[in-house]
Amino acid sequence: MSQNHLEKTRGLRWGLVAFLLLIEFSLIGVGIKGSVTPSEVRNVDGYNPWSEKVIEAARDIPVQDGGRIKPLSTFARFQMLSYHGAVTMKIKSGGKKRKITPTEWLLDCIFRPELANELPIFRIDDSEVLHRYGIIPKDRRARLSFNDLLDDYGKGPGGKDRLLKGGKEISEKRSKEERERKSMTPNQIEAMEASEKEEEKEEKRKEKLIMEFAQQVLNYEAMTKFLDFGRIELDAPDFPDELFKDEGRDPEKFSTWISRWNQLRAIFIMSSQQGIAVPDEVESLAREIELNLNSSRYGVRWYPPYDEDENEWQSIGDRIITILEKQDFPWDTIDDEVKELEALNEGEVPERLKMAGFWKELMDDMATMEGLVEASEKPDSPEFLAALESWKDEATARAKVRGEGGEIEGEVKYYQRNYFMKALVFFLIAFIFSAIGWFGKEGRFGKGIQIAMISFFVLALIYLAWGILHRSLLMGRPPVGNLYDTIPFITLGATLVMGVAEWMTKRNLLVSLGSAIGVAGMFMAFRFEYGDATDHMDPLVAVLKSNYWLATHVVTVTLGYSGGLMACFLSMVYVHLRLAGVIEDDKKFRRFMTRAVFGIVCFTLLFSLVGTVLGGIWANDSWGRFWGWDPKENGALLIVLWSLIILHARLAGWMTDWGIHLCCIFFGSVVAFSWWHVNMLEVGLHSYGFIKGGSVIWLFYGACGAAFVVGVIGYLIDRNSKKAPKGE
Amino acid sequence: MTETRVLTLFDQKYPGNLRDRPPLSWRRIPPTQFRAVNFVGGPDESVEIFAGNSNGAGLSNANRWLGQFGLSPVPDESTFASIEILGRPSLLVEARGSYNPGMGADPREGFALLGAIRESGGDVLTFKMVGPAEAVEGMRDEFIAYCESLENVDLHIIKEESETPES
Amino acid sequence: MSNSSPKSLGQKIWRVISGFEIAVVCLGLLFLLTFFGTIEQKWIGLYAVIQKYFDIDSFLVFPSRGDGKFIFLPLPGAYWVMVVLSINMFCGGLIRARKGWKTVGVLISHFAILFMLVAGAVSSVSKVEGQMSVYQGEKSDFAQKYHTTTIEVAKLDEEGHRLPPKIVPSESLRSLERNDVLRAEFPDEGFTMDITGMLGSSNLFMERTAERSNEDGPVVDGFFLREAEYNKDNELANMAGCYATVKDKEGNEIQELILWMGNPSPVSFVHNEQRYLVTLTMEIWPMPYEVELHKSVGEYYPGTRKASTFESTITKVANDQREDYKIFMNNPMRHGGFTLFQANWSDTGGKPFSGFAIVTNPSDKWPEYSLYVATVGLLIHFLLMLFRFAGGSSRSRKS
Repeated sequence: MSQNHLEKTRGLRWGLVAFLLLIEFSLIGVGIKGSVTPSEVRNVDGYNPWSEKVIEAARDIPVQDGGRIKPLSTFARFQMLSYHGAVTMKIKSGGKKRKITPTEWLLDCIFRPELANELPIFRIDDSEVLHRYGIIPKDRRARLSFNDLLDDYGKGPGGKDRLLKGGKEISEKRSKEERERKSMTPNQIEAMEASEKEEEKEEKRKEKLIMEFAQQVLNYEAMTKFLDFGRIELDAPDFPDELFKDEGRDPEKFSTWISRWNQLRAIFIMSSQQGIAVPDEVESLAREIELNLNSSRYGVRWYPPYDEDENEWQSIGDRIITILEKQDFPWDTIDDEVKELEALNEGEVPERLKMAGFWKELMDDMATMEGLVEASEKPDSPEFLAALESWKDEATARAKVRGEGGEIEGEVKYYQRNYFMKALVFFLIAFIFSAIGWFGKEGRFGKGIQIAMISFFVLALIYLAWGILHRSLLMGRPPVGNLYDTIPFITLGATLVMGVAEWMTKRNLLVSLGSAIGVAGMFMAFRFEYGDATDHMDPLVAVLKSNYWLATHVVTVTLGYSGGLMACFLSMVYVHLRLAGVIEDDKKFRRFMTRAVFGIVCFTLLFSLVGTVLGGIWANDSWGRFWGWDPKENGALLIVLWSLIILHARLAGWMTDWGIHLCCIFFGSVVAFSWWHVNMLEVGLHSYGFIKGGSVIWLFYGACGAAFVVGVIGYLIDRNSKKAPKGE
Repeated sequence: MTETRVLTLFDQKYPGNLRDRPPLSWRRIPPTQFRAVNFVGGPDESVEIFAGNSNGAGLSNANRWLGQFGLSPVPDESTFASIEILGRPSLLVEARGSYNPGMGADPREGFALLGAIRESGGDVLTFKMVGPAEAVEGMRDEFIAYCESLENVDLHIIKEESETPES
Repeated sequence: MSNSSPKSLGQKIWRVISGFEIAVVCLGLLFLLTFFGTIEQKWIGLYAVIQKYFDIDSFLVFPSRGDGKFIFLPLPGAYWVMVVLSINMFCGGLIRARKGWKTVGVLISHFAILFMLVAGAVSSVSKVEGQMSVYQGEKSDFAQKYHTTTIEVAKLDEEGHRLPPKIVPSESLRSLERNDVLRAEFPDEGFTMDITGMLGSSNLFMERTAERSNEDGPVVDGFFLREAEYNKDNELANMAGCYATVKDKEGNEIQELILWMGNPSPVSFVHNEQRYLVTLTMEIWPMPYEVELHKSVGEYYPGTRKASTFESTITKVANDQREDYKIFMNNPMRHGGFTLFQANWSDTGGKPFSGFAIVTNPSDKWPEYSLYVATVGLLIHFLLMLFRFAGGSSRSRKS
């Protein structure tokens, strides 16, 4: 092609590059974004949002979940993610669109369950499976409220009950099949699986969804019912006055009957011993109490245990049952002991009055909950806010006495600051500026664009690093401990290196690529967090609890992944630029790109090799096996081997610059396999990283494949053009 | 080609820490859920001898065995003879007739049972010999000798005298 | 490296052995073997893949899926590829390689990696691994080797104490298939044992309570063996089983036995007025010391089944010498060539119980040493490269 021709079509060819790259990155983007649920916004009549103060008070209440103490807002966040797949819920009320945050939703569940049941909390991807229970949503991918589930073919309530019954039956069927499988021979199992028709496999898939969904519904119900005991008015028969010595207690209240538990139990024992039937009203009272007691065992665990040596926090129901089932509880003297305790001044509770202390605390706690429920009938009232704040202070103080809950404030701040979302936005802005900068670096306009680009890029890096650091401090361990942690860290590694390389070489391209990687990385972080719906700050399993190895092995291996991906993306850009012919006249730039990629491969080799061997040494200290050919280990080895192959093939003179770039594009797939795919195989000792399969990985392989094809075409064209006589 | 290995505690661990001394004519067969120790013996290996842990009181177990032979339950333990097993007096239960073990098995005529039940705290050890009446009768002395020969072997248990490190 | 054409056959061979080409081919083969070896684990489990791809006895590998479907061309066994690679690394990476300050980093790294490969080779032939299970308050002086099956035959002395048993070694039983018969000789005792019907994973059923199928083994003493699905997630949960027929010198049958690894006690037969106890078990590995487990602690994170810590307080007793240790995750006890790891813990059945993994491996620490050396080498080399690159970049910008 003549020089003139090159010049004329330059813009077009840049456009071609941008277009192709956009297609490839979009493929990945589509995978990352995931399936979209219809955005129909539900109308919920009479939804009054909680006040800021109420939300603030609720947010900071310490609860125990996943083995650690966390703020109620974090607990709510992951609860909502597990049901809803998103961290906000969109509804319409009074003609206005509203976004409900997790804390607000949880407050609705606990204090306004009737309203909560109207909210479209359940996200289901294949709602067809519910049709058999009479629940027929409009769309296949639907967001349903609890009340939607009650419907039974539009004829009336019943759907939910049938769903739960169905879920239980399926679960029992699965257990039976598991048991039967254990007494079958491998041949019989193989024959059974081979003869399984497609419809049967499909039915199994549906049944799994039903089971999972039924469990979700049960969990949700439990969350809305655990304070039901505060809402009921018990219908107590008229007992003789002398039976209960506690004048002034309201016989309609649940807590009253817990305080009278011993006497009530005595009535039943005496009747049984004398062979007299207990009157119906007493029976039904006891049943009602038991029902509510059972419900109260679920819900939020926001009570530290009575015993300071115990470490399992309790729900209100657990608290009650712990006392009621205590063998040596001094029922006969408890009231007097409590009076004695109250007469004492503040200070250490004597050992013999310990039970009295627990009893008093229990009575106070039940009164608090009943008070909160009563006040919640007017959620905007100052009484409710006061009651909630008072409970929050009490809960925080109890945790503090145990030396727990110190990180609550910090964690609330972490989520409020939303570091990674901010980083994503800044990376995006930096990318846009850098794209504008491709078209002109000269003059004041060009310089202004440069400054804006760099500023936003640096800002993004700061937020990303700060977020990782804050997380690390909250968890009390090095920054990477689980699969989620790898995402921001790898993103930081890659973008930081791109930033440094840009500073050293002053090519806009690297900031563009770095920003694109930053955006993709942050998207991936959110997608994984939402999809997994587990709290990744929860403590690590015993075998991983080693800050030394987490800081050395995990960090180096993760940086190795970073390097492999960087090489891949740079090479993807390179082959497109070459195919489009936009850098044919810039030998220096081509050499620079090739040397940069080669350098990154060396960097990757260093970190991957060191990281992999460190992993082996860790494994040797953990279970006596330096190398076990475990999928996770093999994945790391593949990265080391591929980088060695690239280096040695280059030294052998087998590879030109095209070869290196094509190999590096493949490198991206190797990293993806090692980073993600091995976890989807669900095999091996590293069983703490298993994840459900995701289509993202295949889209990524596809994108790499497309880029590889582009590279091959570019190479062939280049080779042919070199063969053609000059001066054409 | 076979090899020999040295003795270890593996060779000195017994079910329930009890070492038994069965006569040569008894042959060990695989244990089951209810028969921690399982033998066959007697003419044509027609007699089953087995032992295990049980729950419920000694008397209720004894009455259950009597019931398997269609005999009425007895009100107290004094009806039974006694032998000493591991230093404790233990019930010796005998029965004869049609043996109906239940659980879908057919009844067997002309069978007999000789059994021993040792209670210690909540633990109940049962020893049972069932087979054709004549064979069981002929093995009576063997069975009693077997029960009385049991000894507690706990070489793998740390003795109190060993120093316990500060935890 | 010299590029002049080699003159003699020897020089040609030398050039090939020490050339980059072999290195790239070996690395490429290892890459493929590692990849297919990872995928195939999903079907046949880790241990089977190691036997198939990475063991010293594996010369040719046919990568396949679990249903036997072929997915790639046959490849040489990974162990031997690494042997070739090691030779190539030694010849090319150390001897033939250019010596100078520019290549010192590479030479160091090559040496270190070679050392690591040698460590791997040593480990694969001389490492022994097993497990030791002890309840709190008890002691043990033996372990059981992983992935082994042996048959032990012990006779008793006059007091009824067991004498040192004779073992049918695991090497003999390892490759035994269901329809094979292995004859084990016990010349001193005057009998032989024909072992057949060996199943790697099986269940023992009672004829009285289970429905028989035509795939089941014969009924012996009211019991029969049925093949079970191989548990590849928990390989130690697989219980082997087989049948054994004891015959006298004339070949007359003395006794037929059914053996199952899940049985806690042996079966017996009598020959020449002598009782013999027979057990099918993982190979018993006597330890040079006794381990007394004084305290066994397992903690889970509150409200979860996620293990927080497993700890054992033990005393090691050897030749009347007592030493105390605390073993927990990532903190094993290393002594006298044996390393004891806290592998698992349980307290089902009331009493806490520690599961230890025991490993003896002469090349235990070698990879660690080689890592330090390799890191130094790589760092030197790549830093030199980086300076050259940065220098080149700034020169080109200035020009």
